[in-house]
Amino acid sequence: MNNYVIIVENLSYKINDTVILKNINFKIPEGDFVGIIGPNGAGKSTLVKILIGKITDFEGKINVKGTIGYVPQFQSINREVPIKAYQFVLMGTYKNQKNIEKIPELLKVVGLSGRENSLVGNMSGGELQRLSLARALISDPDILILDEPEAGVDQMGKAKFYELLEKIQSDRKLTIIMISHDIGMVFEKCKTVMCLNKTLHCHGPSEKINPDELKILFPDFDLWIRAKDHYEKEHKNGE
Amino acid sequence: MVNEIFQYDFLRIAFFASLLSGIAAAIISPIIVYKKMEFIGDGTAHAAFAGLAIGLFLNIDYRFISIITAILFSLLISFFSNRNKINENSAIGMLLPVFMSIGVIILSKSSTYVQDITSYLFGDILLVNLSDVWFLIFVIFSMAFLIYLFRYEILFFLADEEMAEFYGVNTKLVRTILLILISVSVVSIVKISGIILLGALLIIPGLFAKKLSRSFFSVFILAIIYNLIIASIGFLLSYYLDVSPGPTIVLASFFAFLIFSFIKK
Repeated sequence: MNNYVIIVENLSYKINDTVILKNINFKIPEGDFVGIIGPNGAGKSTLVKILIGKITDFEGKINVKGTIGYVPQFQSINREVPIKAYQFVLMGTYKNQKNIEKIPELLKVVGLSGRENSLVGNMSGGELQRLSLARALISDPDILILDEPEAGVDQMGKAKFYELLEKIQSDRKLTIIMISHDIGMVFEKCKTVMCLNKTLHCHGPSEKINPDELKILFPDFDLWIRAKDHYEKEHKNGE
Repeated sequence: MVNEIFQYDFLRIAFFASLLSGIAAAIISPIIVYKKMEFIGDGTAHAAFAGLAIGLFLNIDYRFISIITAILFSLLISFFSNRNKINENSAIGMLLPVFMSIGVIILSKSSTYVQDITSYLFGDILLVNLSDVWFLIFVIFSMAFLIYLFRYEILFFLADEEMAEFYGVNTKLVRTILLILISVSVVSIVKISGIILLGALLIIPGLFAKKLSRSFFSVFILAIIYNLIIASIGFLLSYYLDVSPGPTIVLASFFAFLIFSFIKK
């Protein structure tokens, strides 16, 4: 029997009379790599905020087993503040300062070896994203949740970041949940795809979801054509 | 020539007090600038005016009452912005004249109205006495101690408030502590710089330090050095040109920053 780390039952969320999420049900087994896709305003970030405990006035039941590490979108960082890389990572273990010893090793893992004293404000988008990943990992979470990690990162940086995620997952036996706008990448890299637009449109192994069914949700053709390529390739291989 | 100033007790005290108020303002300045709380600093100064008026009217120490009115002002802003979702700047814009009006009405009932209103609006360094100096020293050490004690919390709060909260930093407490520090700092320097001119002392050193600092610690040191130099130059200039010290210090600070902005882009 599967060991589920997250179980969501009948989850609904409204702001005043506006429905943000409606009757969502899913289970995420330990070690899964889930990509959540959906158009703007689909409630993806709201779902993440509910999972990390930032929004609590929802309807339904959420059961999270284990601790969560969280990599947010960039916007919350004030790059003007002279915070050094090691201090930034330290924020992730604010309640247990003993973890400070892990910082050099962790920076090595995310490819920022020896950058402890670099100012965060001088780092590139990709470096900052990897630093946020180090901050999320320092408390050794069981589940890692990422909200659009590709935002503000160039193409090279994106590819490197996804590789890093795969490696970290296999090394640490993590469960990863990632919101992304890069549908092609989600279909290639994630084991499971969840498509959200207020309700859960589909949820299953990436190779079993036909991107044609999702076309209506994504007007941006370029984004989903890679998903389609991937789907067709997978199905050819299967035959 | 400088010796002349130090011959007189009241000038010595005034000079020393302007240096100390430079430090008291500089300690909080980087935090105000990084968190874009400039308007709060200014508003708090106006709120302190109501406290000054109550103090004068009741003939009791103005500092205690001013700290209370300044903190009350900050808490009301938090209340309106959290509870009623009113933009923080709108709340300040609304409350600032309210506190000023309370001050003016109370002062109009007091016999000292005319002479005192100008000295508190624009500062009167020559009114400063030894108890103000001791109060400034107390404020500086308390602020430095609190900022040191909460250095990580404040740093995380400034750099990434949302994530600091996620990782367990009590950001509401940090915000309240900072608002109290701003209030106390404002009240300690209001007699020297005046309510209207106080903003320059609170904001310019932070802007200067932000451009040069390489660490969170150095940002405070640079802001303090800036205000110490400016307060000294401004004070000496005002003595030799025979003009009011408060506005001279403000202008010295602004022109120094202007020159710095041309040198360092």
